[in-house]
Amino acid sequence: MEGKFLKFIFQYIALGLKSAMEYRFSFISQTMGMFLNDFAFLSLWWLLFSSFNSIKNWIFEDILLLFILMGFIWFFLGFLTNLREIGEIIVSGNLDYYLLYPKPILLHLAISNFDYTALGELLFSLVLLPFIHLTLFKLGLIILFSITGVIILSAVIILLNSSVFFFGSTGNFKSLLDSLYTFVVYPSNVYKGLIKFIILFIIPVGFVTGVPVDLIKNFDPPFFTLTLIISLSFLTLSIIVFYVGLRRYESGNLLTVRV
Amino acid sequence: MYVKKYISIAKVNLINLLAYKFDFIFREIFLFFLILVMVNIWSVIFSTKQVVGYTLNTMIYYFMFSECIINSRYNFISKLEEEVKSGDVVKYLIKPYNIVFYYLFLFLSEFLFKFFTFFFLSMFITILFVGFPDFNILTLPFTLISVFLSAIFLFLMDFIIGLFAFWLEDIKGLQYIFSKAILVAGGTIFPLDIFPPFFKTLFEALPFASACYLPAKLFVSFSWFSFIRVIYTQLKWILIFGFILAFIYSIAIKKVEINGG
Repeated sequence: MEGKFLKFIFQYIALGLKSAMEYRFSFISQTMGMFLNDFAFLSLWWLLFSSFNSIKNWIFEDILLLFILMGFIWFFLGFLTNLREIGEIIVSGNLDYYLLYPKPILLHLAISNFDYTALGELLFSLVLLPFIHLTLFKLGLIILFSITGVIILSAVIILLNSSVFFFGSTGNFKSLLDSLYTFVVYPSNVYKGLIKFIILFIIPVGFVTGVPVDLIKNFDPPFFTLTLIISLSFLTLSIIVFYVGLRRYESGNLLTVRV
Repeated sequence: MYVKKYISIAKVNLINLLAYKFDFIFREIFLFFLILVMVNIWSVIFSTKQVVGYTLNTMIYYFMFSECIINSRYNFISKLEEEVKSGDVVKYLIKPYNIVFYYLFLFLSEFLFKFFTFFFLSMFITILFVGFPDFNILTLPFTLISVFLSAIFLFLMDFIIGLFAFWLEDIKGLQYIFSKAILVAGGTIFPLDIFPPFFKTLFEALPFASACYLPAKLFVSFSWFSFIRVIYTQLKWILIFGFILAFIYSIAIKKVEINGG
């Protein structure tokens, strides 16, 4: 059964890559564009740290770690890019297409589009790896936290988009998501009080990069376990909300052609 | 009247824009979070160090102002790219208006509408976080001249990038490079003054500072001397970019082939 799922996932990825390679120049320029995007953002932090050495115990190497983690997370999210479109798909009645297939609906929705520019993110992370003090243990943690980070962000995206089942309008989730991402791409140790509580326990985006960077620096078993528990429980919650919402879905009997 | 037709185009664009008012609110939520993050970061920095020429208050107002500028941009590049690739660009040759002015008025109408909306809302948010401005806000009308020039500068840069669609299969890579140049060397997030002296001097000499750094700095530390210097610098780059655009356009338009029928 699992083998079948994996084959299904890999076939979709291969298809995505093939279609991306059809426009080779676009593929290269956009991937490199993403690489440059990260490089520009990192150089901004480098310039800031050249003037201010540290920001509340975070030094430039911690920013490097943050960027490495983020690069891996955006790379993995590139395979799930269609999650961001679920709201639109529901509103436009295009969910019918996915309902007709004997595949898990949410998984099928998630992987049916591939953002190949994410390869630029992966490349960036790999280039940065030699610049941090790396041990095998740290590398293991980076990979693990990349997965928990993807899980948390996917869960946030699914929850936001599933609200369409209940409220009927898509709003502008992309802007809202970008808002939440700001807590992922900036050092997280600067927050305190209510904001810290919200980004840790209400919308746990603080566990995407902030807590992991601190854990990679100074491993702490209770917080490590908490990261795993929060990511898995948040994913479970989002899946439940999606399927509960799905029961309310009414087909628009829309006829579409997928090429 | 020559300009009247372009004003009509701008008016229609504004009416269309009002249909997407909720997008503004969501974008403002994004700005709210950005300002919140910056308040936290700069509070930490200011608690241990001094930043020459800035207080926490002016730093946050600088950031808010520069974000209002950059978020007000009308992204027309993909539309222009599509028109070039599909050949639709030819329609501008037979219509009684010029493609550059057509897009300029679209850009300006959208930019100014968005800018005032974002500025008004962001002022409330910023007052909430760091209180009323420490500086004289009555000079704002003069700073707005610089914002207007910044809009023209951004338009010229974007149009030049768009024209490269005549030669390149995809211009997104080029778009990334320029938008990131503005992010770093244009002082969108951090004012150039906080960078090491070498980079500050370098970035000030580049055109990108005209986009955000110059108007935002003028907003928080207005003086007549800096006003004249900022306007002069922006006009200089607008003139240079204007010439570059005219030159590239004159070559690009020769590539348009029209088949009868």
